[in-house]
Amino acid sequence: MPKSLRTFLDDCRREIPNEIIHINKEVNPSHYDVTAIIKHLGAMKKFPIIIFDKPLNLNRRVGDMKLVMNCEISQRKAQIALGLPKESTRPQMAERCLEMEEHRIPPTVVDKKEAPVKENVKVGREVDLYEIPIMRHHEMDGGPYIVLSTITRDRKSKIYNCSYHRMEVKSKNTTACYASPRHLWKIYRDHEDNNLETPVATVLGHHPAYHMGACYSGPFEVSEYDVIGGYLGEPLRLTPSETWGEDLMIPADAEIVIEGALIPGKRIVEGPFGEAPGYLGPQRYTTCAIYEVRAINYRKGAMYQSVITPEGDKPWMDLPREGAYLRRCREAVPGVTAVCKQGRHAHYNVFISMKKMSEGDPGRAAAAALTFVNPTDILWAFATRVQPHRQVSILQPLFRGNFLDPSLVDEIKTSGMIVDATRPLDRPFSPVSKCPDDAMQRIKLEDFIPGEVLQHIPTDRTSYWC
Amino acid sequence: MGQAVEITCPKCKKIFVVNPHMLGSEMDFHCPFCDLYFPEKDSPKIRK
Repeated sequence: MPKSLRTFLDDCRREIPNEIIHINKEVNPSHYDVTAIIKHLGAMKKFPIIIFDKPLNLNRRVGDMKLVMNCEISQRKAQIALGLPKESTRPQMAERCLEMEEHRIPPTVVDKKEAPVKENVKVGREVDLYEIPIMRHHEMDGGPYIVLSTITRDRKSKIYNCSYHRMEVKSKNTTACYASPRHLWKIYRDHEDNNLETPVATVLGHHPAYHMGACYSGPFEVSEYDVIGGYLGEPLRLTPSETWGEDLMIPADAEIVIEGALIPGKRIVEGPFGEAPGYLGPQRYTTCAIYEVRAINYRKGAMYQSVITPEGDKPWMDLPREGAYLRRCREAVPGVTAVCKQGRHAHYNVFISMKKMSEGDPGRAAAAALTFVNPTDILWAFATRVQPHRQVSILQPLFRGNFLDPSLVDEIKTSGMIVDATRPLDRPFSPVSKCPDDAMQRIKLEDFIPGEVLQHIPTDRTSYWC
Repeated sequence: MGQAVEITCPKCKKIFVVNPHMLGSEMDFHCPFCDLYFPEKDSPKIRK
């Protein structure tokens, strides 16, 4: 059977039955109910997969679709997704990601009749994003947001690009897609320069290995459907889109795929949005494209997936990047043994463990050589509040040091470093993203998860790995 | 992420953050709290 979100959930039911729960009570994802439940559980270091059986959609009705959360959180779930033993260490998992990226598997094509995602197709006036249980994630978010990966295709080379771009739902057939200047932006601008619409699709539910492959951050020339095949360990099955036919193929085994066009020559305001580093990404428009949704494909009993960032460990996002950094660092310094890019600071801090061969190695690897890292709030503050040229001060060696410090080059004197990782007060600074207080108070876990179920959900300690 | 500018909504008076490139543009701000779209000149307070 081809891999899908459903086969992954079956694997989890077998391997980690206490970490997959259903909530049968009605919840309103656009009113922070889901955020509050996940935040309450996260405070207890519990990150079960949660299937919300009766989520309200944006039309405030219980519709055809369920909502699934937390598939991406915790090291164990990533191991299950990648078919790795539970004894695998994090560096071993990153190594495996690197191997999977190097052993790419091209996709195969299946007829629409054989594609589960084509079991329901809405086109034209039937398109209604409000029928999907889309979340409003954080206080001050500009609106409901879709956060999973989007597919585009280069006009000249025909390679596929998959990447994560937040998109705010603006109407029943329009989103505002924040195309931060990466590969999707390059493809969009190329179409725009030729006054062409950009074919686009977004996958709203699939096997976590698909989502991990879509995190690939290698050269533009690599077709990322091939990378995803590497992560899945089998060819990704594709089928023609409704809007673009074979010119834009979409994953046949996805739960839901929306598709349409990025409109050239126009921009739209979107945001703020609570971003991965834990702050509100400000409202903007210059790189925000209008995404006109022209078709929605979905399976029977479709499960819509979303992600709350930052909440818990994100090996799903971090491992592919750790693999990529491992590759690049090893090219510079063969002695690099592991790379850590985990936690709330993950996007901005990279910690490299290496067998140091010469004094220049750390510099060449462009990072500090550390053996153990504890990703705490301190590191998060370092990563998100410090501009080194402004907030780091080096003090002359006039201080009494510690005899036990092996780095001392004087009998006792030491130099010092002040890192001001405090929140600046003299200028506006993006607020920390959070669930609204009233939602946290309104939502009581015991109303949604029975005590006997809650107590059997294991505490996840891998969230603070390293 | 980048820099942020604080905008006060003229209707609900709540504060939200925008990127500095929004200032001086022709695009209206969108208040995430009360859904109002409004031009820069209508904001009672802008903190840069």
